[in-house]
Amino acid sequence: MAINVEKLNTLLQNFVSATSDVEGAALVTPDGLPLATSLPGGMDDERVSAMSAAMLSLGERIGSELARGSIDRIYVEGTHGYGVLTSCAEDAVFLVLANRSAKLGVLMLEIKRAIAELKLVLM
Amino acid sequence: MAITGHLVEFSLAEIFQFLEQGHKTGLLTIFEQPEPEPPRGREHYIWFNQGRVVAAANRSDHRGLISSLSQRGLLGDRAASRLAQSCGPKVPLGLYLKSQGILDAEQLKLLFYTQVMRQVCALFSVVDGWFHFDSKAVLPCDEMTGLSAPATEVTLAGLRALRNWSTLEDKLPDPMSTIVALVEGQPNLRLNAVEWQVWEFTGGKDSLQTIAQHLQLPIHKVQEIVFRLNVVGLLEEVPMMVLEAETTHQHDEEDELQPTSSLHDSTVSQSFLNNLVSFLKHKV
Amino acid sequence: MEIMRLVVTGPVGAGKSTFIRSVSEIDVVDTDRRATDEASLLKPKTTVAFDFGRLQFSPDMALHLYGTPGQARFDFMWDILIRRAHAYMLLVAAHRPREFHYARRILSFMQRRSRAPLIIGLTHTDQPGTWDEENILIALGFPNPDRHPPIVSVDATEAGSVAVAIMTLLQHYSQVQQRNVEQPAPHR
Repeated sequence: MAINVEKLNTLLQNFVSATSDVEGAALVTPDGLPLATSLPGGMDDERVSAMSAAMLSLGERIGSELARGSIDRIYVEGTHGYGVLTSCAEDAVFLVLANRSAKLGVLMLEIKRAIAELKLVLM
Repeated sequence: MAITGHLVEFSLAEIFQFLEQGHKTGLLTIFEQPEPEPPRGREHYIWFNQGRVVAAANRSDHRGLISSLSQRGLLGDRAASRLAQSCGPKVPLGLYLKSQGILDAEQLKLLFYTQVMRQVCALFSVVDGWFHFDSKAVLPCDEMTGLSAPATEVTLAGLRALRNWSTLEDKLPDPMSTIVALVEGQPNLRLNAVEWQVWEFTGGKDSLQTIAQHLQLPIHKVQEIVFRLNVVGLLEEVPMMVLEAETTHQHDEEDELQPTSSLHDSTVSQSFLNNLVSFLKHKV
Repeated sequence: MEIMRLVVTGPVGAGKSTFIRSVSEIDVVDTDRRATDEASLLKPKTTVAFDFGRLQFSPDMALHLYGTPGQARFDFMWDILIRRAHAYMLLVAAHRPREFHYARRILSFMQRRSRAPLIIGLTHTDQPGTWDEENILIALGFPNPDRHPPIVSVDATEAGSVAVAIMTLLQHYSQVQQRNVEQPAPHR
């Protein structure tokens, strides 16, 4: 069945605008192509997607080689904020970019909710 | 040497770039047909000498130039044929007619323009076709004016006139890339106004996207211009990140004038190499 | 421990992952994902971060092999990998002229980023429609027959053939090193 891209885009846009401190989000294929994106201006969605895929595949590899099990999420914490990567169903990876003032616990919860919604559309 | 391929695989622009850079001599044939096997569709012939286009025709009887002469009322068919016979074996027909006072330099130029520029430029829009290059083919003096054009000049003109870019889509440069000049100073090819405008941005600072905004052009227009200036060897596309990295790299070198740059601080020892080679020899 | 790092790069489907798998003594650390882009026409899986293989040939010496992703959207990985490479190889499928233009782009990226010695490896040379070395060199931007990187044909599925290609790269590396010692110019 064809994926409803329009629906995915709307979900992402709503997620980004409704969640405080979230600056952007992207749903990408495991080989690094964008499915739907809502990113800050100046960020190239192809590039962001490729990076997400590379990061997830490395994370998974670290998980298995260093016996950490399967990966729930990967996150990068920088001086300007967070990049959180969560696997979303089998064929998609969900990336969220949040600024420094985001509360991590709240952010994780919001991501979990968003993924539940996204999964419904991806099924 | 002979090369055959489909134009979707290797476009006419790339073939021309290849023939020019390789200083190739021979005959390039373009077949307007989806499969390489006969029955053959329309065929077009372009002759190269040392990477320059010297003649073109869409007939194989070597009478293209003669018929063009008579069409323009410059010379009757029969007279031309007779003259062609008296023309020496290695002398281009056009030059011979000029030496006989039958054509002047301007007429010769016009003939070459119609024969090469007009015929060949149209071929850039052939999508479903095959090409074959034969370096053993003999140059046909009867089709030659004696004039020639660099293959890149023909490419520039051909791509300027091209409307349908769909087959070149995956070869177009990335909108996030910057452009860097490959030649020192001014380009040696005649650029049109908008190509000049794009050329001005070869400092490697702006992405194609930014250039498009500055020039108020659609991004695909800028991509097309960059592709054609690239394939004629004037500039190249460089990802922005690389240039940023280069700048910092240069700073490193200014800071410490050591023979090894910071990126290659470790060189591998000769004993390492010897050991590895003898190890690999066992695998062969 | 002395380590030499070699990078294998090139267009999608040139045989980079296969090359590394053929010679590595460890299970190759791969980051393959099912391809959904044009790559899926050539092969089911595509590298998204890098492949890693190793040859430990003495207790304190090891060769590390890194394979890059082919698609340009992963050029940040090209960058990460090439900057620590001692030498690298550009793999090109000799029967796919469609990719020569792109291979040239990869090469230009790498050469701007790194001064490490390079050789060109031609794969799939047994296929119909294969171009010969001289013409591939021209198409890759090396029209001068006296000035081009070493070029070698390689069967990426054959350990022996891969070993020969690596030896060619090592020999070239060694020559460039010696030249640099004799005339210590910072540039190539």
